[in-house]
Amino acid sequence: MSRFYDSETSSAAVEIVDPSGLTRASVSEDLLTEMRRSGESSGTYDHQPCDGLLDIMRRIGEDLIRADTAIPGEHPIPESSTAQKRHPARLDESVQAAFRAAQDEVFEDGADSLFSEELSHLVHRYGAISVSVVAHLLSSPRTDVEVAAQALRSLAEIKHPASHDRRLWLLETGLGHASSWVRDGAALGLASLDDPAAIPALEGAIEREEVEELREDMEKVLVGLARDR
Amino acid sequence: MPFVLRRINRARWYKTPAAPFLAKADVPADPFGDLRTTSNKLSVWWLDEDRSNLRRIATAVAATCHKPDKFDYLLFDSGILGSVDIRVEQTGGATQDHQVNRCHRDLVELSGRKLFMLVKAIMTSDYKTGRFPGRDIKTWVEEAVGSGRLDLHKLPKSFQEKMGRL
Repeated sequence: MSRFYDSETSSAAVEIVDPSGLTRASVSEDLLTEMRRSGESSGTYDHQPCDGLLDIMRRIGEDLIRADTAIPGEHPIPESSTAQKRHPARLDESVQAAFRAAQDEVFEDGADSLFSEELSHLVHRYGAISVSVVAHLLSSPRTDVEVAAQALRSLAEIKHPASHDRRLWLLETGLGHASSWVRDGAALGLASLDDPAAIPALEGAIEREEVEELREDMEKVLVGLARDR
Repeated sequence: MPFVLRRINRARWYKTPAAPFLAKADVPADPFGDLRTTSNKLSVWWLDEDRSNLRRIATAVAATCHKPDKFDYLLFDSGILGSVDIRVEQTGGATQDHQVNRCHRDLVELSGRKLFMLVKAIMTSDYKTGRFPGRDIKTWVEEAVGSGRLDLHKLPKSFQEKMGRL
């Protein structure tokens, strides 16, 4: 991990590297501190879906602590990322800007959105770290729930095998969100991701779900995934 | 009495207990997000009483979009329109399916007050919402292409790509 001063935003920033060693990104020091604090107070990372927002924060924190320790030497950065290394973009700023812009966008079923294009771009550029930053935003009560739901649907449609597990985890986590909008987005995302590994999480969500229509829609997703098993 | 169908986002119409901030005669604002008017008109579809044309309408409407996706719908009794004094005009739909196009209607001369009355009347009625998953829509569009109801080459290019047909 390396620290630098971001002249564009006049703030301290931190460059981090994905545990895979293939992507690097920078986030604001404030965000990293917040995430690390959450991560340090948690137990083991067991890849099971969780209900609470605090757990989301903890898991992201754990991921970033691992990213911290994984950096120099152990996972060399490919030559092709030299330009990124010299001019690291602020990943959290980019994700936040995308979420802000999305509040003015009208989302329609059957249509692509600028927001989904931007998320796809960020995932392809930064890999799984970008999914963790999105997860952090989804855990914030200030995030518009329709945008959050759309983010989950969009992330699920991205063809990016390297971040598949992280996106699956985020979608499973979204099933426990306080907003029915977000839970619906998570279920729809799992239908798009089409990974039967989500079946146990979905079964648990169906058991807990109190909105009848949403439970009915989750059951349809479950039938679709079970068909693929 | 036939049913009126409108494509919606189902999450806006969940039948959950009224939010505490709502006055007794008020309605939530979210459903209005699915009732965007143009020239004070609202596009809807007329459904047979036995709902036998529901899937066909959904397939034809979904096939006008950029990609196969879920189809959320709202159904309510057409008698509600008369009760809130909303005028209906039969106008052709813009799908590839001529039989479906005959089911298209416009709710015309809508005012803010009439729209509010409509939402209120729907929400106090026995309205239904439903969802066809995206994978079903994709299958049905393929079937409609196979049976000649839809022409593959007239589907939006991006829709054809997502179906793996380009």
